Amino acid sequence: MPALQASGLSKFYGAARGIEGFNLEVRPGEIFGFLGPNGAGKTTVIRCALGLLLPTAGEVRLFGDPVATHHDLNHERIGYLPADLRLWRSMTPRRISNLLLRIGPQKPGSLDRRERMARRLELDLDRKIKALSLGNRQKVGLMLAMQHDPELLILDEPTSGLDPLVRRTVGELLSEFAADGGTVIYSSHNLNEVEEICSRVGIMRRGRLVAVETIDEIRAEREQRLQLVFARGGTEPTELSSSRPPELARFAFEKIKGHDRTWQVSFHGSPAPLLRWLAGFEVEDISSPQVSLEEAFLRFYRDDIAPNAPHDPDALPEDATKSTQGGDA
Amino acid sequence: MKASARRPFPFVLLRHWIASYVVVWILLAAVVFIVQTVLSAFLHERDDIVRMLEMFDEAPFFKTFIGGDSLMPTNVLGIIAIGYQHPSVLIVLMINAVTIPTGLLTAQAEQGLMEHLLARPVTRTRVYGMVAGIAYVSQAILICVLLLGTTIWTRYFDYGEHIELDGFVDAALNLAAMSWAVVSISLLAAVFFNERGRAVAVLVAFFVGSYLLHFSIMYLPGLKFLRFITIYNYCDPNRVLNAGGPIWSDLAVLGGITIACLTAGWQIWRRRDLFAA
Repeated sequence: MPALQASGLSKFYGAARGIEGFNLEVRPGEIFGFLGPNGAGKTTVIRCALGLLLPTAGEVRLFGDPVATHHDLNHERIGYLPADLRLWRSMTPRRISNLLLRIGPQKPGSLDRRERMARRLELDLDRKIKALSLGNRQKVGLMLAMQHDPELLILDEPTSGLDPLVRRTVGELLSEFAADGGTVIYSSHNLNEVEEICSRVGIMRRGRLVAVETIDEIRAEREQRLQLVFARGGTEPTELSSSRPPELARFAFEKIKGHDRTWQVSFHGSPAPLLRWLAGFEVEDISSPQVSLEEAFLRFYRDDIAPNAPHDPDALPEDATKSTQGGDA
Repeated sequence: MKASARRPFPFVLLRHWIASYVVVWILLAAVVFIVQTVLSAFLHERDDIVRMLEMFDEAPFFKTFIGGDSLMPTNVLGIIAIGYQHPSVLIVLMINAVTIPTGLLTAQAEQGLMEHLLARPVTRTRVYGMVAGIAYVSQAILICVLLLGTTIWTRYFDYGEHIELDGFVDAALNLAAMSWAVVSISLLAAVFFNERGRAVAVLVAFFVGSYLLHFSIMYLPGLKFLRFITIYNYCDPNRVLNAGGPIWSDLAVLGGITIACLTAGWQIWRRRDLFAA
């Protein structure tokens, strides 16, 4: 039985679209990455799954039971860390933890688990929230989500504000959690983290799930590149475009700025036709620069990127649906 | 749902919310009791009553705020009943009624704290029920403090005649019914609006406007046709004292408002989207 199952899920905020026609199954024991730019609809899906938002159409099921705004079925089995985490400012993490732990049935060993997590995250449980840094608050949020030993963890941007060392610890905690049979839904727009932590990824764009792939599949489908340095005195690279045969139509040639004789060729599939054609030229050097996961990922957003915009691999395109009521929506 | 019904009631959350308001309630109860004390200390002397009424004869509009024509030196019960419609007492009840629903529902949803609570095994209905329960019970306690003040001071001071408390129990019941209606209206506004500031502003405008309209109607008989639309029309301690028992029609109207607004608020709360502002 899937830990989470969404079918035909749609949510509109008035006329603005949050998500539309969303279908997904998250299998037990997997760490599922939810990728997409701000406003793509990740948070809307998560809030529908928790019963915080009433879907316009479709349904979400948690552990096979339908989610509704008016009941709390299976909530003892989930842990949740919201994006843009806010906590009771005048309370200490220990008091908040006690409050949330005691709502609903308490598993034995919860307090020990909390203490262990606090030690591991180097978290002071007795300082008031208002005295904690953003990163420490995020650690508190993570501890609150995990302290009751849930079966499904729903984490919305869990590592925002955390330093790289703590990010690594979080990654380890999640891997251990999944190794013990737990399921994680990990929403992020940090592709490197998702690459390290997740086994499967759902990619959101403008409120729709455009792909569900494993990290390996994304890597396999990513664009390949060859960098060619032509010999001095041979065929002028500028003449290449006119002499190219039609079977090379799927190969994109781009001259590298500042290097007269260096070209980059981008393509999908086999390089054989290119290599056959290049045999007729005097090529001094061939190299294959790796396409990063970010660039592989950006193929899903090609339409959203302005043709002449400078490429920043950490910045995903802003989605047109961002201006909805549901925060990240 | 069956699964929810099997779960223990989240008393820890109830205790947490009650603890966060205890100081406020002590202050509000102190205000109610002090008002009763001051009024009783001042008004048990007939000369003082006469002087006060002469003063109010110069400002009849203000007289209507605390009892109107029923304020006569010979009407001791009417004089004591000032404490049941004094603006300071009504303001205290309104503050409590508005603060709790907007503070525990609207503000917590606005601040993103409700997400943490509802992600745990607690239903929206239980959350709403707890908030409503806290608000209704705290209003009842404040009115009990009012009645306690009347009981103590009518025994302590000599009013020149024996004061029967039965009429004041009925007046307190009438005031409680009104204050519960005010709570229910506040609950409805609290779940309807996403921002606490907006909910409070609308409620204060509604209650103050309604209060001013009520007294304008008493002062300007031409507006009498509007009396049914103000909630304060159904809470008049002097009318209760004169009737010699509860006025069931008023209690029915206030009860109807209480149940209708409570139910409408519950239905909205069960279905509405929750997200931090």
